[in-house]
Amino acid sequence: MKIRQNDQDEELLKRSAKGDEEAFTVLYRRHVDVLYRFAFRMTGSSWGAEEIIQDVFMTLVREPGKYDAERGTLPAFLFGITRNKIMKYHERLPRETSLVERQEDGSGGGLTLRDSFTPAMWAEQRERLEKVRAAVMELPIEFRETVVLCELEEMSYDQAARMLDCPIGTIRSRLHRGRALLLAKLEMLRDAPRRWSSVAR
Amino acid sequence: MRNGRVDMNCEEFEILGLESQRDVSISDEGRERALQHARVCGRCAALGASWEAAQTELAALAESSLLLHVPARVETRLLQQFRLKHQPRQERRFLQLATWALAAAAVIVCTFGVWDWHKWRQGSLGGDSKAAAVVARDKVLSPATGSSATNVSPVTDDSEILMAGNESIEGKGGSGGNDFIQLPGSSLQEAEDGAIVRVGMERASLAAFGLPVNEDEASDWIQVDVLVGSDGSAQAVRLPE
Repeated sequence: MKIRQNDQDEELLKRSAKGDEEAFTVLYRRHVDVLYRFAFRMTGSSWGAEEIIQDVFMTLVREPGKYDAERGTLPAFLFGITRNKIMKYHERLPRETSLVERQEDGSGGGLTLRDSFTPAMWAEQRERLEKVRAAVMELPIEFRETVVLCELEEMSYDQAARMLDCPIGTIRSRLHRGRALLLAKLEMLRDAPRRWSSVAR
Repeated sequence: MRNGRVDMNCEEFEILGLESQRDVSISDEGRERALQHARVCGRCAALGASWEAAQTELAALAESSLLLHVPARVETRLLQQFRLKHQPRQERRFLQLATWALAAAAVIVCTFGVWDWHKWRQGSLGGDSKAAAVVARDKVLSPATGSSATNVSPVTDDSEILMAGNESIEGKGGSGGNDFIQLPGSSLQEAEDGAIVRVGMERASLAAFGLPVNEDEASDWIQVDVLVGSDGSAQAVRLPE
């Protein structure tokens, strides 16, 4: 049977469970990028994100019956698995592990700028991005995932609430606190005074 | 309070004001109050500016990782696992179907074989041999005494089984001119579906059937036709010569 790009996830999953490789491939390509970005931004490691994504989709291969359409959408289900895998990933990691991935030459990895900056600007921008990334990575995980979804993935509060399977008020509250922490860290990086009253509390 | 509106305080501004442009659940009035508060509160205005700067940096970070794509090797590995999981199942299903098909074919062949053999056998018995058996029954002599069916059963190496109705029985003079002698305890009904077995034995063994034996010829080997019933026991004997 021919696969159409607009076929519903549930239909594709059913066919994938019956051994339809094409259906699985469409399903995988449809969701992998956003999950991978989320995993990468949560772990700060492309290797870690790769491992997590593989585990997530292996769950779809091995136990497609785990997904219950009545309990939510497939993306939310996949996000849920990804979050669990990220938690396990962090539990496995020693606390002192550097959150910034390094290349073999010792430089920071992952971030590349496409604009034609001068080398000095490029270096400055890159350093700044590394710091922002490090600041995000230092957030407690429940705040981090909210910041990643709402600020980096630019999801609405409602979307984030569905993905994280929690009330929208929780998203708002976590985002507020996460944002406060993040801002404090970023200002510390700028050597600016802390102005966020709730951080001090 | 201005124009009947309650002004936003700093705490509210931190919670609602910073995201007033993005959070769709905040009303226009709420946005207006946030803006108003930022105009009059220097600390919150600075906070707003600081958050805007942070958002710019976050946007840059988001953009830098927007082009991130999962390596192709992940898809390759997943598809390998997918094939590993599903292909054996398809092969298993095929083998299962093939096994069932073979079993069904075997059953059909056996059924036809048995049916055909039975039909052929019945046809044979219904012809010559059945007639032979009836003739044998009609011509049977009085039962001999003192021998059991098992005593005539030993079939020597040179014995031959002549199926009732087999043409060779005619050729070998099975029903030539001699009569069957019913053995004690035997039933002619059993003999109807039976077979005639030609065995070689010493003449002295005939005494076991209650037949008279000439002592001078007692050690001679003779051919004897034994009518074996459907239960495998000897029902009658005759001396073809």
